[in-house]
Amino acid sequence: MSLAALRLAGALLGFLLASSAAAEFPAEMVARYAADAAKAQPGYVPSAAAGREFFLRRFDVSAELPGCATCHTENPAARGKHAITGKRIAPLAPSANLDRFTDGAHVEKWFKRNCTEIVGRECTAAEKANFVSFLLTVRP
Amino acid sequence: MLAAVTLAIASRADADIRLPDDTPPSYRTECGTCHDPFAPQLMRKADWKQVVAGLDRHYGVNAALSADEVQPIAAFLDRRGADDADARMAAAELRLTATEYFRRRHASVSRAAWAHADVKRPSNCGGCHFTSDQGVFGHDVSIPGGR
Repeated sequence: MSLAALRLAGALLGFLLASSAAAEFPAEMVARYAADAAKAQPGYVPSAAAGREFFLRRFDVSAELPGCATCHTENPAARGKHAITGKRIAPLAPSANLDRFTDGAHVEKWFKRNCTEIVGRECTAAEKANFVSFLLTVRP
Repeated sequence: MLAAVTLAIASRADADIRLPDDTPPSYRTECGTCHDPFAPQLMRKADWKQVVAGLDRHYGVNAALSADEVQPIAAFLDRRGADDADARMAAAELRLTATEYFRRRHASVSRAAWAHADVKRPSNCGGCHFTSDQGVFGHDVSIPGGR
């Protein structure tokens, strides 16, 4: 291998390492939320079934946005649509959208915004772990 | 002479409206996630100021941002918003779809097209303008059900 090729390979490796450092796999995110939930609730284990129930629940805090499925549809692997603005929403399930649940700060921001609006309060770590573990079970 | 004037007016009206080059990235991610990242030129600075001041009750939704997040967006809208003296861009009820400019530009759109499931609201630019999510509100338009 020439020196130039080696340099290029080194630069590529560096880039890959740097870009992967910020990212997280969805399953790691579940584990992180679950560890957090276990502090308040010893023995807590994430439940995809509870996550599914939460996703489909109508909270009815907001008249126009009663639940998650209002915009995301009942199938998280499908494309959604904002119920007020009509803007398209990319699928929530990682199996249909690889970008989902790989950026902790982004996910926290949207949990905060959407839980406040739809649930009427911030979500707990257990609810977040359940929610993401449900989405990980969804296949397109 | 008259033809030249007509042409000048026509080409001005035909120019695409697009997000300026100095649009802060957060404008697209913060504002442009729930709705299209509307071009600031579509409404007067004074109207944008009021929108930014009321983000905690933003057309029925709490879209509050922290002071750090709001600052570059507020500065951008104040930099690029339409001139306060421009009456065509005065927005009734702070809706940029309720300006004289917007109404004139969309005068040929039928009632049926506005009511189409893909459109639903005048503010859903992406219902017809396919590149609006990239901040280009131009002529690559397909009106559902035709005009």
